[in-house]
Amino acid sequence: MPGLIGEQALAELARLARGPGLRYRTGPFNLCLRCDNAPAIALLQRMYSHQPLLDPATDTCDFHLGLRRPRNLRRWWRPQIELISDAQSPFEPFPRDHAFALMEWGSNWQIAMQAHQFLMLHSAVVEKDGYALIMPAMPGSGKSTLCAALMLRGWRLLSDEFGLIRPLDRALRLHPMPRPTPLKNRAIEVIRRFSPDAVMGPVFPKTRKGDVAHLAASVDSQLRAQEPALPGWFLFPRYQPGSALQLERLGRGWIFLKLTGNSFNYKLQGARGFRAASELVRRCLGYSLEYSDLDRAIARIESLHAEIVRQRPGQATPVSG
Amino acid sequence: MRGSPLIEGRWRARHYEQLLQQTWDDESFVFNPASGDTHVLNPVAMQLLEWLDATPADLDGMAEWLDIGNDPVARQVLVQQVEQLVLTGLLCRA
Repeated sequence: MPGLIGEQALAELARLARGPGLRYRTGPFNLCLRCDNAPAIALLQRMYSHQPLLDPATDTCDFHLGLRRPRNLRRWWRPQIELISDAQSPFEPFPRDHAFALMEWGSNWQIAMQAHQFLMLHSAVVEKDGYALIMPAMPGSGKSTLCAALMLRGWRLLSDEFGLIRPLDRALRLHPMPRPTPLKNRAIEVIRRFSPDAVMGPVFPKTRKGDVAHLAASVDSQLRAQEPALPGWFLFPRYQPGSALQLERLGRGWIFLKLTGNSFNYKLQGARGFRAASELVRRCLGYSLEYSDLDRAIARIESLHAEIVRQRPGQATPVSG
Repeated sequence: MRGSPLIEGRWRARHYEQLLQQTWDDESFVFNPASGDTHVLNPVAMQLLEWLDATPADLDGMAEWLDIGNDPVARQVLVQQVEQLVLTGLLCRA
């Protein structure tokens, strides 16, 4: 089926999801979703509006995800919804009105478990002028908030969660997967205030990670989902209320340890993972940034990014494939 | 010199030619394809590993090569270093 998800009638998307499967592409992956939860499909249409639907006659899917009501009393009493992956239900069910959150979490899980054609860094990645800023996930760092704020100031979101690199690609390009960013707890209100026009979904209260609301990837990020970016630099942000902006250069050995320790599949990649990760760290400078004010943090990041890009003339042309 | 029973005898580097290495800031990151593990080695351990690839030796031989004489603290550090290399599979008996 041609066209973008946002161009299709909601009734048609819901029919596909209830029946043969709603097939769509996000970044390098084709997904097939089966689900009879209408609010989840409506939210998917809003969050993935500029990502392409697939033709069931010609496009095969990498991942098949099902959401269904459990076959027990919880169909009626405090209704739940469970994730189906490869005909198994690997996790505890969620409340039924958290279906979209479960769908996002489930597809992240499927990708992290199976997409080993990529070295998968656990990082937020945004791009400007052809170069990627890689922000590895550190607990409590506020990287999702900073990543969301950068996107809302015009940076292209590659992913809030996955730094995808084909380990045999000598350019070590980062591949986009511009899916919604799950903002948690205080970050929800921070981003609402930061950008009142941001496209955000409802708050799912009391999930395993607290309150969660999804922020849609910008239209530009979604439309350029097949356009990888060259590696630029690393940033390890840390939100510290009341702190002055503080930027410090990091040692490459420390970066390597954090990057590989946080990867979803570094160990599984073996020698090619070591080569790719060490080459990535060799090419890219890394900094820590302690911040309390988003606008000031973004201004500093933008000036540093411009400086880094300027030092690499001729390489910044985005390349496809 | 006496070490722990674990490291009596002569030792040599294991799979040294297959190891992948990257050194930054006085730390060497060594990937061992045989185990799939990545190890972080200090400069002494890295040099010792390289030397033991060419020259299998016992603890006395290693102490002599490192020129640490009879300093008991330095020798204890050497024993710990060798034990670590043995445990991580980067050294084996010659």
